[in-house]
Formats: sequence, structure tokens, C-alpha cells
Amino acid sequence: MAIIKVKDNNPAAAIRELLRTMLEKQLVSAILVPQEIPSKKTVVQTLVSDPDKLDAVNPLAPIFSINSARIVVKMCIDQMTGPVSGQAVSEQPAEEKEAEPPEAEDSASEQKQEQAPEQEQGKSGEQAPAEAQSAAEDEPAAAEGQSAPAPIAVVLRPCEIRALIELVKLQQASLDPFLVIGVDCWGTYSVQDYAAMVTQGPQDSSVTADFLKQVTAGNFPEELRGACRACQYPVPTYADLAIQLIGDDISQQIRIEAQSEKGKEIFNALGFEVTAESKERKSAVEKLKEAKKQLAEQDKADFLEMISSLCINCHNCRAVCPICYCKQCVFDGKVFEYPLEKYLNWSGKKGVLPVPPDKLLFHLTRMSHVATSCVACGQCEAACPSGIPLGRIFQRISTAAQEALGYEAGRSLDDDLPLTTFRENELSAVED
Amino acid sequence: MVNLTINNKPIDAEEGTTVLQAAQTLGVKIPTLCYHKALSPYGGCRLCLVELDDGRRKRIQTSCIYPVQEGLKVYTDTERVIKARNIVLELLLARCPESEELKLIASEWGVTKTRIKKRNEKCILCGLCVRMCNERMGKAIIGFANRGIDRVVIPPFDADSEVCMGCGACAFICPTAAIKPEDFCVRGVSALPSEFDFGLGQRPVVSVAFPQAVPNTPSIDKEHCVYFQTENCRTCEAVCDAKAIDFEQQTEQLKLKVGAVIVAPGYERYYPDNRLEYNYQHLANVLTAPEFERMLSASGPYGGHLVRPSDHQELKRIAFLQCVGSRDLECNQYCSSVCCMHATKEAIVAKEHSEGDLETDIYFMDMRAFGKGFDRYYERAKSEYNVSYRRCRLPVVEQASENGELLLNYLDEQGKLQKEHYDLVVLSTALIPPKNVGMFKEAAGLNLNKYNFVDTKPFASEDTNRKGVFICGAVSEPKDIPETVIQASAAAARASEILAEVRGTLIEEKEYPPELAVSGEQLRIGVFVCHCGINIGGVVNVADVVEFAKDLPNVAYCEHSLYTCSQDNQQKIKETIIKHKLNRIVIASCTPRTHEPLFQDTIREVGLNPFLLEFVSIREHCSWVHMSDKARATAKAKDLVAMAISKAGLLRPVYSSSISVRSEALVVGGGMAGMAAALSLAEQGFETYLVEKDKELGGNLRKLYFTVSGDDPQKLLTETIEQVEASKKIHVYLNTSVKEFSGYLGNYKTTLVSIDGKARETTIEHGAVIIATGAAEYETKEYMYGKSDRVITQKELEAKLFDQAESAKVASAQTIAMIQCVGSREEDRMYCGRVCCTQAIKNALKIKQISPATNVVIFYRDIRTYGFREEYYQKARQEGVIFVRYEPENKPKVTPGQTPEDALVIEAEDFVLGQKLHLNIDLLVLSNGITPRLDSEQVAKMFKVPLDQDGFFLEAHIKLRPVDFSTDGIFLCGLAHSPKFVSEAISQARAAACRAATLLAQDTVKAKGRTAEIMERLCAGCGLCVGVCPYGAREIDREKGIAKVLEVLCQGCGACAAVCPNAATRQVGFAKEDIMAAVDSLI
Repeated sequence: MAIIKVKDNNPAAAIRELLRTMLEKQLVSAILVPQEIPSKKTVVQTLVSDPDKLDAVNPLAPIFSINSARIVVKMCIDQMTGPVSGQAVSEQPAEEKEAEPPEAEDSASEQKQEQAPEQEQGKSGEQAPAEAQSAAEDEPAAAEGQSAPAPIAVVLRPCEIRALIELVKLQQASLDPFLVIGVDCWGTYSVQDYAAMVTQGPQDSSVTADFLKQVTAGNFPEELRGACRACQYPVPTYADLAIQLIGDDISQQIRIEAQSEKGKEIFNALGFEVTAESKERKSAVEKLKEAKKQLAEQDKADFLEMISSLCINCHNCRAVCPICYCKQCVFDGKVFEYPLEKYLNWSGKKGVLPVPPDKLLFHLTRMSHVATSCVACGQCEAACPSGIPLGRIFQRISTAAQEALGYEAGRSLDDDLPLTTFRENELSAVED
Repeated sequence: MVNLTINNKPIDAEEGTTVLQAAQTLGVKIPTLCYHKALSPYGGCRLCLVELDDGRRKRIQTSCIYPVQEGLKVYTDTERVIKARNIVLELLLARCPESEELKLIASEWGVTKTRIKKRNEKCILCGLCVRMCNERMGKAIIGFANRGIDRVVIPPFDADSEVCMGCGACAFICPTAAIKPEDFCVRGVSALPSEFDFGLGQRPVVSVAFPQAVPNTPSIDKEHCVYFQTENCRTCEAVCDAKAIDFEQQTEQLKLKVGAVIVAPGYERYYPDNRLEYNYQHLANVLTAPEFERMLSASGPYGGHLVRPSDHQELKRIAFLQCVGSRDLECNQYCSSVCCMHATKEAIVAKEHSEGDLETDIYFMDMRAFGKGFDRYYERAKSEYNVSYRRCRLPVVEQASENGELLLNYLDEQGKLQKEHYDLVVLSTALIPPKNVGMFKEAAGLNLNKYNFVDTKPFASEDTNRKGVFICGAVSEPKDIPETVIQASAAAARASEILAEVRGTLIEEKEYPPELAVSGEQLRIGVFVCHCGINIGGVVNVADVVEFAKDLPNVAYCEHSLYTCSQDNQQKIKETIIKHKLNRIVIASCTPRTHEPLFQDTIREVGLNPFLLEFVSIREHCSWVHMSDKARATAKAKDLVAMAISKAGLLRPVYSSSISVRSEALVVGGGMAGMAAALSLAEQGFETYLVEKDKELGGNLRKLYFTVSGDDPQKLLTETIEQVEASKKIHVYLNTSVKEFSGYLGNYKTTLVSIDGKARETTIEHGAVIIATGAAEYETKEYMYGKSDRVITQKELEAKLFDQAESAKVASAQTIAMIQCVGSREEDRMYCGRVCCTQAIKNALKIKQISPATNVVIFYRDIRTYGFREEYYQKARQEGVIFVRYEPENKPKVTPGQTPEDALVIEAEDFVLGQKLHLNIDLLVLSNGITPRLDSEQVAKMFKVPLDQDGFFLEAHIKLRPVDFSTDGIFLCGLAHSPKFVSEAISQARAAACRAATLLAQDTVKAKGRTAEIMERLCAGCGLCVGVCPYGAREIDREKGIAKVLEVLCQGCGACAAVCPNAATRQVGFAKEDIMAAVDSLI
């Protein structure tokens, strides 16, 4: 844990400088981070490898255009497959061993927390060696030093990290090439609202600064996205490095914490002065969660009716969902293509048939598939052209489902996916 | 032949048949009541009315007595018929409104009430009883008397009959339960008690022994069959459509040439007939435990209702008396081993069955929950089910009141007389040798022991005194299911060792014609609907189903038959397939569980791929479950057939893959179990790799020096090691551990590594694995163990007693105390060490033998000397060993003496005397029990097999598959499974060897046809399927990043298909398209 001083009441700038240092010191080979576009109407994810190209970086902008876990998945597609070489097996342990000794000296309690998942990965098969092999082939740069190539930093919100954890467990991504930097999050606006605020606001004002001012004072703007209004995960808990804002006076300072061994190495290399955790943080986080609970209470609607009447079967929600990882959705296959005769038959039986016929079925199917891994990021809701409050629906259902199964999506790599485990009394809570 | 039409359908009927019979052949339904196949038609009830048109006029006639005529036109459902029939039904309903059978017939034909004044008669004068008695029984005890409205059925002069034999046929055939032969039969009518229900229920003369009997065919009880008494009756022959009744069958003597014999006649239960204290014979509410088991059974004589047999009042309090006829010097001295858990189970099930507050009290001496998982079950019975357990002596049962209430008198542990009232007393009666056990002595020359059980060899409990004759089950000693199943496999192993050379020589390979190519052919579906006699046909209108199905798309042929599975009909099906060029087959009959393989084989015999068959279960799903609603049962049968036909259209040939199987086995662990398994495998002809971590073989057996029965375990050890070393087929790896294990069923690859520092690696390939890694002694810190050299474990004591010098030192002690259950049967180790009680008694007897003056005091919770070991418990008491019981909440306290040289002091509560005991003891011996080895978890992970909550290896089924893991190809035995005696470990080792041999003896293993398959294009490699597969049949192909199926391991359960979000996994035969096609045919 260390304190990072904030200048000019601009915490985003402080983070920017931190990232710049990491690139300059070659602690990371590149950084995936959101930057503002010149018109400032939105931010886009960028992969920056030149420290001079970080000027528009703003991870605190209250806008959430894509769940970046999806981007990370795309970036490591080639890491997930490839030839399994027997050679790699014998080479890999040597590399690992060199990395181990410094870790062993660190505090015991943290080690316990963090080592388990790494062991888990080792156990789960030949994956790690395979990656090491292909990485070595692809990047000759690695050969110049003894150490592994510097990781790619990815700056993510808590819900993005949680989605990424789920995807790693579903074997769609690997954390190995990445250094996950988590940032506290009070919530976000929709892309449209954000753009409108930028356009309508005074020239010299900043939507980010206004937003931070409000939320740190405990006021939540009306325009906050539905999913963010109910979010119970404002802080990163499973990152390599966590940038902490909640509980501090962010006009003065923010903090940085290493949450894994990987993070600790970078943290040490950055040469921070180690300090204690903010005393107010815990209660501030709890207070924030409580406030969000209150906000969520206000959202009530007849969700089922909204789906069956408003859905236009565009499947946008599926396209943006970080958890929808199938190569081809069943709804794009032949199963749901019907001959005309069948339409007529159905219509004939009931007298009237709402078309297309699989609207509710699509959402129920998707829900049954993602409910145990849903991180309630609300991207589905943002993508819906009909304004169905999908994020809130999925949040409500998935929270209940995960609770019933004693699971929390994205909490840790160690928890077995609920579908793969069976406990005799796991559904007793919902049996009646 | 006579040509006529029924409802415009032409039929050729034989001269002399009736219109009703002709209609039945056509499948046209006509209601009947007084008609019975075995009796002459009577035309009395008028229900079978039809309209006849002989070309001149139309008349209403009773079809059961009207013979067929050339050119006759019969109509069964004209308005005139319906009207007439309805009036008949109403008249019958008015006469006999209470008859259930009549109501059923009436409602089936649309009549639910009558407009005619009710007369509330019982008898409808159908005359079935009269004809039955006259025509079939040849007695004519009853007949019609009087005329008109005074007509009645009575015996001559309405006087009691001496001729009536009380057979009950009249009552059996009466549709309204009007006739009661007991009213006029002088001899009295008594139902035959059902042997299976222990007389609590009844059975007919022709019956299946019990519902799960194999073979499940009925037999005739010659002793009570009327035909065998009087040569009359033969009713069963007349009604059996399959013509399966054969009165000429004789007992046959078969001579078989065999290489080995396995004797498994089971056991019988003790009946306390002559025991006055239980009053079993005189009190209806005193049952034996097996009788109570039938009462609890939902399919039993009480339908699972818990009521007093005397007056059918609901049970409120039940007492179970343990050790009835067991541990009893008056009859059977041994312990029956199973009754403690049986009573516990019955008490729990009774609690679950009863809605009210049922109290169950178990009266016992020692609770012998020594088996795997038993103590936990016992604790649950107490804490979750409130079963109360009372230690008692000398229980006496007597009648408390007229209504059948019972009074139980007993002495409690302090010797005080107690009295309690109960509704029911259940006697846990002893297991005794079967009555015919003497036959085996005479015919096979088997020795019997002093209890009349078959005598077996020490350390080889399947071997008898006769070479080649083996036993299994309770015929050699009372035992529970797992031990019985283990012994069965072990006996099979022993037989297989002898027969190894001729294995498979009697097998004849069946030849099939080359398979016809059906892809691209036009669909031609053949539908065969079965009546199954009246089993289906009695409820489902089979002809109607056929009529419906034959017009469905792609159906080329459709027929119904009486017994589709009969041999001649199978032949007919084959001919039909060829004649009509059928390429998909739908069978609608009983159940695929028993009959699908049969029909698959049938179609294979004419060149169709066996998976071009779709099976519909219209017996289980229609006629059995909707017995009372014939119309809807028929409608459902039609729906199911329609679904099957749509699904059949999508059937494709399935070719199941097969893999070769290596014939070598790997045995992990070179203790007694591992060695026994290896020896058995080698004897059966399989190369075996035996891996032991230690530098020598033997494991725990090395520290066993003598047994309570006087056998020599060290001799066993030396001889076994010699045999192992002499065997050419066993390859021993000492100082070796398993480093890596991979592969699958029949094709494993294991890397062994030497642990003596040389780091040599060996890779072996083998077809099966037996885990025999053993267990360890539990290390305790209680009772000053390790702090005083006066405190030792039983094993340490045994070693001392075996040593001349040391044993003298031990025996010089004045007082030696032993404490049982040290670290066992406690919160985190809730299981019994099983061997410790016998071990303590063994050592105590040894001490007494060396120095009778030495006091030996054993502090125990329950003495668990099960089976014949009870003898030694008795003996120990006779020799003066003192047994003091303690409760786990109040353990004995051990304190050091004043100086280290002084004796220890032990303090405990004596329940019998009700006093505190203070003893100075020279030596304290702890029965510290057995604990799983520390590296079990590692072994479990390596071989991907589960551990139970105590850390022992977890078998596939605790009762029925005690040596298998749920993954095929891996087996377990010995202490790795649970604590047990040496002979039990050896049995289990042989059982494991036998199970492994069933796999190793095959050249190839064939995958089940309907396995899962992967649509590679769709698979995202998420691994959910790997996680859910219970058979280890899934893995991720790293190179491709997608899942793959190990087909031979796949059992076709479909869990993977269910969990796969985008149907990248398909269950062959149950793909989305197949299911959708079936569902679509309904909606």
C-alpha cells in the first residue's frame, strides 16, 4: 500500500503519471487504458506502448462503453490454443523457480491468499507450459534478458475484472500475459448521457471532475446507469494492483495496493513508500454499498412484460455481454429456423402468435446460461435499442441464483463454477 | 372359415367362434361382464349387445353366445346398440350401485349414473361363480335358486357344504365381491400366507415369489393348486394367451461338468417360537425385524402404513429388542452383525413414514455400528431422528390390554426393573444357517463349524475344506451387504484362478449379416405395438393405437401383436422388415430397460443398424400408471407413439467405437491387500505390477503377531511374500512411488519413480489399477501417551506380548487398563476402528494366559466383537477381564503417580455400580484405531478418485459396489477403503482382482452406442462439460482448445449436453433436433 499525491485536484492525472512511469521503466510492455477522444464526447480503449501517448488517458471518466474483459479475451485468443510440446514441460519449471524466491519472503497472510489460484492454474493441465512455449516463439524480445517479457497492463473497473475472472475460469482467457490494474468505481453514465453532458456543459468544465465531486459528497446523479445504481462491487478485490480512491480525499491523494505477487513485484519496482491502509476506506465502501442498495430499491418494473413486448430480437445484448462466450449461439443455428407451416400451425392453435416467436425464450435461455457468471455490468441494458432494463433484470436474477448456489461471480479463481459442482443441499434454500 | 364384417371390417373367423371372439381378434372392443374366457358363455348380463344384420333384418343380440355366420354384418357402436347397452348398464348400476368393477365398466362406456331406483344388491346374478364351481372346479357347490326377482345364488338347500374345498375360486371371479365361500364352507377358507411378506400378506396359488425375483416368472404352488389335487380347474391355462402354462413340467436332475463351485445359499432368520419372554407366537403386535421391514415397505402388505397388526390402529410407540437369539448362551452365542444397523434403519424409516409423533426405542446391549459410515448413521439416528437407545437386559414382553397394547419389562443398566408400554415390539432376530446347510455337508463334504455355518479357512474366508468349492455370503458367518458383495467377487476370483486356462472357451460369437445402407433411402417406418397379454391390452386400446399410427407420415407398416417379444413374433418382425423394406423401427411395448437390447438384436439380424430402433414404453408410461383411466391411457399411448415416429425419422446408424484393452494391472500398495490382489490377478493369468513405497512388502501385517483365534499372521506374511516373489507374473517395485498417471480405461500409462534417491523412472502401461494403499495407526496425544512410558498402544503391547522377555515384564504388572475408542467415534473422526475391540480382547486374553493373576480392566463404549468374535468376548469375561463402560462425555481420567516410578491412577464412572472407580494401574494400553494415510489425498488426486469425509477412498456404491470406483478401470481394497480385519482385507483384495479381471480379460472395450459427441465448430473449450462429467470421459484437447469425448468411458448420461450452453455437445439419439421433432409432433 502506498499513497500517490494528487496535484491540481486531478486524480486522473495522477493515475496517468503512474502509468507513464510504469511504461518508462519498462515494467509493463504496453497499457490497455481508456483515453478521451479529442472532442471529449467519449472515451475509447487504447493499447499504449509509447509513454508520450498517454496524455488523454482518463480511467475515471464515468462512462462505460464496453466491458473490456471482452477486449482482453480477444487479445489472448492465440494464448488459449496451440501445440502442446513435451519440451516445454521441462523448461517451464526452471523459469518458475527463479521467480519464486522473492515471493517466499513476503508476508505469509497475503501469500496464502494469492498463491492458491496460481497453484490451481498449474494443476489444471498443461496450459501454462503451452503458453510459455508459444510466448517464447512469438516474442524474440524475451530472449534478451533472462526474465519473462514485461506484462501488458490492463486498467479495468471492478466489474470488468470480475468478468475477466469468470472468463479465465471458463477457459476463454489467460491472466498470464497481463497485469490487471483495478480502479475504484462509483458508477458510470450511459454513452449518450455522457456525450450530452459534455456538449451541454460549460466549455471549461469536466464531466469527470463534476461527477467525482458529486459522488464523493454522497450524491448520485439521476443519470447513473441502472446497473451502476445497484452495484455492490465498487472496489477491485482480485487485481494485481488496485488504485484506491474511496475513503481518501481524492483532491489530495489516492492509494495503490498490490493484491497479488505479480502486482507486488511491480509495486516494489516502482519504489513506493509503504503506508497503511486508509482508516476510512472500509466504512466508506460499506456506506457506498448501502447507498446503492437504497437506489436499487427504487427500481421496480414488470420485467417479463417488458421483454416480451419490447424485445426486437436484435441480440445486441448478447453481442456485448462479456460472459456470452459461445462461438455460435444456438439462436443463430437451425434449431430456431421454422418452416412457414409451423408458424401457421402455432398461430392456428392459439389464434394469435406474437412474432418473432422466440423473444422471451431467447432471454430466458441466455439468462440460464449466464446467471451463474453474470457480473451485473449492465452492458446488455446499454446495448438494448428498445430500452429494456436488462441489466437490472439480470442483476436481480443472477444475484439470487449465485446466492442460492453459494457462489459469487468473479470473486476468485479458486471457487468452482457452480455448474460443475454438486452439493446435496445446494438448492435447499429455493426448493419450496 | 366364415366371412363376416364387424363395423364394416372384414374378418375370416373359424366356424363355431362367437361374434364376441371374432370382434376381439379384430381389436374391436365390446364390454362384457358375465363373459369369461375360461368359462362357457352365458349371455346373462346383456352387456355385450351388438346389432346384427343378416341381410334380412337387423337384430340386437348378445355377442358372447352368438356364433358367426357367413355374410353377417355386425355393428358394435350404432345408436341402437349404445342405447340398449346404456340401459343395461343403468339397470346393473341400479341393482348393484356399490360395485367398483361395475362402476368402472359403466364409466368407461359413458354411463356414470342411473335413473332407475337403486336396489343395493350385492349379487348381479352373472353366474360366473356358478359356472366356475361347476365347470372348472367340478364341484357345483353353488347354483341358482328360485325365479324372477327372487333368484339367488346359494348352495343346495342353502345349507353349509361339506363338499366345498374352500378354494375361493367363486370369490375370485365374482365382480361384485358378493359371494363369500366362508359362509357355507364347512372346511373353512383360508388364504395362502405370502412367504415373502412373512405371512403378513397373502399370495395366490400362481405367483411370482417376490417383485424383484429373477427370473420374474410365476410358478404354480403344486401343494395348493386345485388341478394337482383334483385334476380339475386349469383356469390359468385357459386364460394364458401366451399358452405358457405347462402342467406336465417335472423336477429335472441336471448333471453339469464344472471346474469350480460357489456355494451361496444365504441364511435364515431365527424364530423365537419357544421363547416365553418374547411372546412372539401369541401376541400379534410382536413382529420380527424382517416382518417389520415388510410393514414399512410401500409395496408391502400394509402399503407402508404403520399400524398395529391386532387392530390396525396407528402406531405411536415402537420398541426394538436387539440380540433376540444372538449373543445368547441358550441358543446362538455369536453376534449376528447386522441387527444393530437394521434396527436403526427401521427406526429411521418408521419415523420418516409416520406423520404423527412416533417414538422408537431401541433396547440393546452394545451398539455394533462397526461398518463404513455406520457410526455416523447411528449418530444421525440419535440427533436428527430422535431414536432413543436404551441399554437393557432381560426384556419380557406381555400383553397390557385387550386392544393389543404391549408391556415391556426390562432391567436397566443399574439392574432396576423398568416397565414401558408399546404398540409394537420388533424383535431383531438372529441370522442362522440355512436349513439345507446339511445338504452341502453331505453332498459336497463341506465342514460345518460349531454354529453349523460352513467352515472357512483362516485368512481365506471364501475357501472351504474342499478344493475348488468356495462360499460367499452369510452361509459362513452373518454379514452385511458390502461384505457379502465383496465375498461374492472374491469367490468368483478364486474360481477364476482355477479356470483361467479355459476362460472364454465356451463363448460362441454370434454372426450378423452385413449392414444395409439406409442413408438416402426414403423413410419407411415400421411400427409394432404390443398387447403384452392384458398387461397393456387390458388398459390401452392397442388396435386404436395402430389405427392412429398407420396414417402418420413415413409409416410404411403398422401392426399389433399379443406378445411382440415372443420368439415367433420376433421372427415375424424380421420377415416383415424384409417384406416391407422397413428402414426405421418403432416398438411400443413394455420398457427399453429390459427389452430394447432384444429388439436391437432382432433388427440387426436382418441387417439394420441396431440404433435405427425407437422404443416407446406404453406399459410403464400408460397401462400401468393410468390403469383406471383407459381412454386417456390410450390417448397418451397414441401421443407417445406419434413422438417416437417423428423421432424415428431422424434416426441414423450409430457405430460405437471400441478400444483395445491391455491385460496388465497395476496394484498400488504392497501390504497384505495389495499382495493378495496381485496374487489373484497373477493366478488369473494377468501380468501385475506391484508398487510399494516401503523397502519391503507386508505393510501393516508386519506388525501383527497373533490373532484371537490362534492363527499365525507372520506365517501368512512370509508365505505370501514368498508366493509374490515366486510368481513370474508379478513385478514388484519396492521403494517406489507413483509419479504420474495418465490414460484411460484399459490403456493407462504410469510413471514410477524410485524413492531411494537414485531417481530412476520407469513407465509402465496397463489396463487397470487397484488402489491398496492401506491406512495408518492413529497417533494420539490423549491419556498421557508419549508422556509416560507406562502408556502404550495396543500394537505396541502386541509386539511386547509376542516377545518372550518383554511379555514376562508385561505380565508382572498387577493391573493393566485398556481404553477403547481413543480418537475414534468422535466429532471429527466419527467412525469405528472395527478391529480394536477384538484386538484389546486378544491382548487381554494373552495377558491372562501368561499371568492369570494380572488384573485387566477394559474401558469401552460398546464392545464390537461382531460375528463369531463374540466367543472371545465371552471368554475374556470368563477369564476375569473386567469391562467398564464409559460415555464419551465422561472419559476416564489418567493422572501420573507421585513419582515417575509410581503406578498411574485412572478415574472413571462405573455405570453398573453407579460409583466412581479409582484404579492404580501399572500399564495403560490405548486402542488408538485406524486413520487414513496422510498421502491418501495425493493418491486420490493422482488417480482422480474421490475420498470420503473421513479421508478413506470412496467406492462407487457403499453397499453394492464396494470395490469399484465410479470411474471404470480403477478399483480399491484393504484398509484404504475402511478399517478391517486381515481376512476381510484379503477378501476385498480378491474381489478387486476379480473386478479388474472382468476388464482385463477382454481384448477390447466397446463404447456405449449413445455417447456424447462434439460439434468441433461450435465448441468454445470452456470446460464446463469436463467439470460435470461423472465418469472422467471428458477432457480439453489443448492443441485445438476444444473438448473431446473419451467414448469408452462415456455412459451417455447427457450431463455434458445439458451444461453446454450452445449445444456444441450432443447426446447421440437425444440431440436437440430429435427432441424437438418428438415435441413438435404433439404441438
